[in-house]
Amino acid sequence: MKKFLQVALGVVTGIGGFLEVGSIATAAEAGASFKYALLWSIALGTICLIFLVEMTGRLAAISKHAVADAVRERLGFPFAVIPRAAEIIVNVMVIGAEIGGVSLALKFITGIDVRVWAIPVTLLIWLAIWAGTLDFIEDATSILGLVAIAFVIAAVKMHPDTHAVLRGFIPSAPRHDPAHYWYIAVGILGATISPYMFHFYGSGAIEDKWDEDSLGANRITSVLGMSFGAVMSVAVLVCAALVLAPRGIEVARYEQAALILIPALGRWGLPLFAATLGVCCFGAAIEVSLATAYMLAQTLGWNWGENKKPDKEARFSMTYVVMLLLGGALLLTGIDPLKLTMYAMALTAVILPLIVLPFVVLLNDETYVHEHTNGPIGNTVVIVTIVLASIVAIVTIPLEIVGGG
Amino acid sequence: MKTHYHLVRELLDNQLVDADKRNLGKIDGIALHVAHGKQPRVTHLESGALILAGRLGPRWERFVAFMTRHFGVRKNPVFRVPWSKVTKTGIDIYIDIDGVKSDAFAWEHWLDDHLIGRLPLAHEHIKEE
Amino acid sequence: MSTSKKNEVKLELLLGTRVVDSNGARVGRIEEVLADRDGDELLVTHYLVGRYGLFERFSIYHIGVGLLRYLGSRAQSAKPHRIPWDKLDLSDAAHPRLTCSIDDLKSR
Repeated sequence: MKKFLQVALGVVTGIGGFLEVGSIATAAEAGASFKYALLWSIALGTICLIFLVEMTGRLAAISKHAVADAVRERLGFPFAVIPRAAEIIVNVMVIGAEIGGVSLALKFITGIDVRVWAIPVTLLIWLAIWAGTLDFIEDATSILGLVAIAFVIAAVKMHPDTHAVLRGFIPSAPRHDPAHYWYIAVGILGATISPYMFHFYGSGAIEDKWDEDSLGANRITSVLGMSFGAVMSVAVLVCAALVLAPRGIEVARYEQAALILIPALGRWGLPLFAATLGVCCFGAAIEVSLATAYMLAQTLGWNWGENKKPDKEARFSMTYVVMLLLGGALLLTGIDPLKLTMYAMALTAVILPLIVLPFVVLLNDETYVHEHTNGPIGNTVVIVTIVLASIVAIVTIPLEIVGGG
Repeated sequence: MKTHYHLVRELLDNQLVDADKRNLGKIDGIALHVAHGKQPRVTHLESGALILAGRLGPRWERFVAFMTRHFGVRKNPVFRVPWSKVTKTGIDIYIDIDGVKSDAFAWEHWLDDHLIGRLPLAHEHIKEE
Repeated sequence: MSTSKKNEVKLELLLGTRVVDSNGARVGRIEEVLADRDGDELLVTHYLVGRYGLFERFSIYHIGVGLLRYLGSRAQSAKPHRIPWDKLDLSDAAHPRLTCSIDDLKSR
């Protein structure tokens, strides 16, 4: 039963971490502009993510320390402060984007403007974290998150050309508009390898008291959970490729992305799109807020834990409250949620090398993971991710200017 | 407890934990007593934003010193633990003090009394286990 | 400065400071401090002073040095100097100084 619950945690993190405003937006934009050509970037990001998430879980199970904890302890404050400060900034943007996603979902159904929804949605997210336990949050998002299967059903119903889809998994140079192509590729990587997932997953593992016996389940969860999320992302891209690309619609607004389920699902299309967007963004907003609180508490050595009463860890609770308020406030400025999402994803890609670098050190340090250190394959994947992420980080800023437009 | 220590690797930046397994902050700094002709010794483990800021540079230190002077709630901005209070070392460093009553929890108490604890449901929340 | 108390040196500020020998020649930066427990006391025995402080902390030291050597660097001197506590003058903690020359250190 415990094992099953553990796998459930991974699948939830998979949905909440994977299918959120960032991946829906980037996948829809990729499909609309380049058909299946960018499927490889989802696959590539997912492979990196599976390895990194597995390592996060292993580190937590053996050392009882989450990534932020171990980075501070092992690499020192002057190093830790850089990625953590960057993550806080990115997370405010991501939370703003997720609250925007929920508000948009409500707008699609009610027609009432996003900015009106920002405040009640922020309050609702706060209430869920405040009054709920980790298990409650996990169960609720995982069950509700299943609506995302609508994308898979729609994609299958529209009979995509299997060969063309499979060819998309082979990286290729773009036939047109290369700057925009790479800009979206970077966005997909940023949306897939979300740093907050490491904090959320690892800290959740500690809260659920994982130990050495959990390693097998950890491996299954990372593969299953992340792949499950990836399939949803792929489905969004395929739907966009089949619906938007032939009509020459590029996703400049979320309203356009919302059309992609209609041809296959008819009048259920829009409500299902709204439900998926709303549920996934709601879950992701909770995860990102909590992840930031975990991260800060672990970096500074505070008491932390979502399963305790808020007044037992006032600083931990204060952090997610402030993060939610900042995210909500960002949305109230009237910033376009899609733009905010794309910026947040690109910025994530920029800071990724610094976040992934410590994995090489920590997962090879026997004081932390005992005999469960990385094998050659694990280390190779991390190093390749670091190199890849560094290249991405360097090219992202010019791409942001040329391709973002 | 072990005999040989790498102070940077094994103590600095590690977690301080009290007798009741509460997290009391990281070891942000280590104070050494250094006198001419005498073997230097570790006197205190220190924790506090002021110490952290000092590691980033004098400008940060001045800024945090200003903030703690005007808005601080701790009796002393730096929480100091004598080395003799350390009971167990490892990835975490255990110390024999009651953390709840110490300065390390001053902010926890202040936030609870003034903000977090005053919000609805803060105390009714059902705990697991 | 936080080193206000008399005879008190902050280890975290010592970390990364440059060390010179008695002739003013550069030795490296302090990257680790070794100490032995003696009853209730924790006594400093050695300072590790090296050129590759960052590598050391990352424990990718061996990979890093191997790579440097491969690239033609004279990285054999990369192993940090192990300086006994009585050979390092910390009376000015911002400018630590060896009480001997760097050659004396090697010949020991």
